[in-house]
Amino acid sequence: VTQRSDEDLLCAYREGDTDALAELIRRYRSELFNFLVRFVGGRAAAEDVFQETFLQIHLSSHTFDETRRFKPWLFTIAANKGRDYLRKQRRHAAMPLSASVGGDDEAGAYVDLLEGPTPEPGAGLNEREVADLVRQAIERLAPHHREILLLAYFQRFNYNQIAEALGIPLGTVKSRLHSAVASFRRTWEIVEGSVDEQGRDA
Amino acid sequence: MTMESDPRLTERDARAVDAVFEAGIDVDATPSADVDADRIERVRAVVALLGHLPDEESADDLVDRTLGRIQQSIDDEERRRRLDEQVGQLAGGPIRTRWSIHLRELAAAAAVVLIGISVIWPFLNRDPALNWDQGDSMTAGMSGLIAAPRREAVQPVFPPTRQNATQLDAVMVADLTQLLGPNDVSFDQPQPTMMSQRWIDRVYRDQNGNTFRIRWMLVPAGSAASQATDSTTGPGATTPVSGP
Repeated sequence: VTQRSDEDLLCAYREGDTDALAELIRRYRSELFNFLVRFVGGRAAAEDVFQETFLQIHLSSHTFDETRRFKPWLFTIAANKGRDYLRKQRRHAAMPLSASVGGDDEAGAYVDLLEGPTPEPGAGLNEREVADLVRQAIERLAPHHREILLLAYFQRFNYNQIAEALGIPLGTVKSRLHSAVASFRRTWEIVEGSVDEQGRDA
Repeated sequence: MTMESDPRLTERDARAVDAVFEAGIDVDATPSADVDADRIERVRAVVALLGHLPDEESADDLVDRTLGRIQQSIDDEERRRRLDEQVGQLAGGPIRTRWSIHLRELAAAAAVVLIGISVIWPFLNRDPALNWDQGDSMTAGMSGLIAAPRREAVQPVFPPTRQNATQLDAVMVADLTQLLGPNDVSFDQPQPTMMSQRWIDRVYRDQNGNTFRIRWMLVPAGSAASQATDSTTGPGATTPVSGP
């Protein structure tokens, strides 16, 4: 049995087939949920944003361009909803914005990836502890770095798909991903303890 | 947060990142003249850290809750639509068209109309006599001067035939003590005004049936004639015409 494409399912939903939307939600349940957990940093928040995303899909289904791919559109909406959530959280957060790497205090510093040791999990840490460190490193990233790194690594989006999903030019995709990698390298060193917040060797 | 403040990679590292992601994370990027193998390996080592993040299992009922939330949104919209229809029917008939009208939109429109009326009302409600005072006809102005308290009863018979400035001269040289006012005679029936190039005749009848003519001489300002004060031929002279 040939599986119906995402785009076919959305068009069917637009024409009144409510099961088609349920099928789309089931299809992206795991992939989108994982992206959102990593992006917004919590299961409850990710579930809330997941529902918001598909509610928006329902409300905007009539605006979907059938000649485009569904997946980048879905992640565009999800990233927007995730950003909205983080913005609201930041309004109430005690931690200042500058605490994240990629904030105003970075002043465009250059990072050379060949400097220092190869980043790798420290000896004696179990997999769960490593995962916690990675999670902390990601949470310290600015949202625009976090989302592009997640799309490129976990969703395997190529540059064109990232440009489409985030609504930015190809050149911006490249420069932003370069910054995201540099920032992630820096935050990993901080959470792993090899450097302090100012980048000095610990 | 500005993009300019973001940390940056060196040019060689940036090329290595492009090589890794353009080739695909799962594929070994090929070193080239522009991109050396060491940097490619370092980039892969950095991003490989992300692979330590475990996949999270979503709640079993996430799909059902999502569908429930969408259904709730549909129900809410339907409820709003029905409420608007009921309000429309209570307001005197179906007011929903393909451009749905909500109660709050009606209230906003009514408020705009009220504000508009409150602005225009003072102009609509002005004493009509004031319009005579400010009209562009000197004839009308003279009529108002003669019977100020009963302005509504004294209307100019002919439309103005001269420029105000010209006719103003006649008024300026008139002896105001000779003008008929409301304390002298009560005029009920204004008669047609005769007009020529040199004077304006106006005939009135009082309550006793006596008819009076007021002749307004038109004298250019500054001329010798403008100094005349003859009570029978001068400006504003009153001449009985006939008895009852």
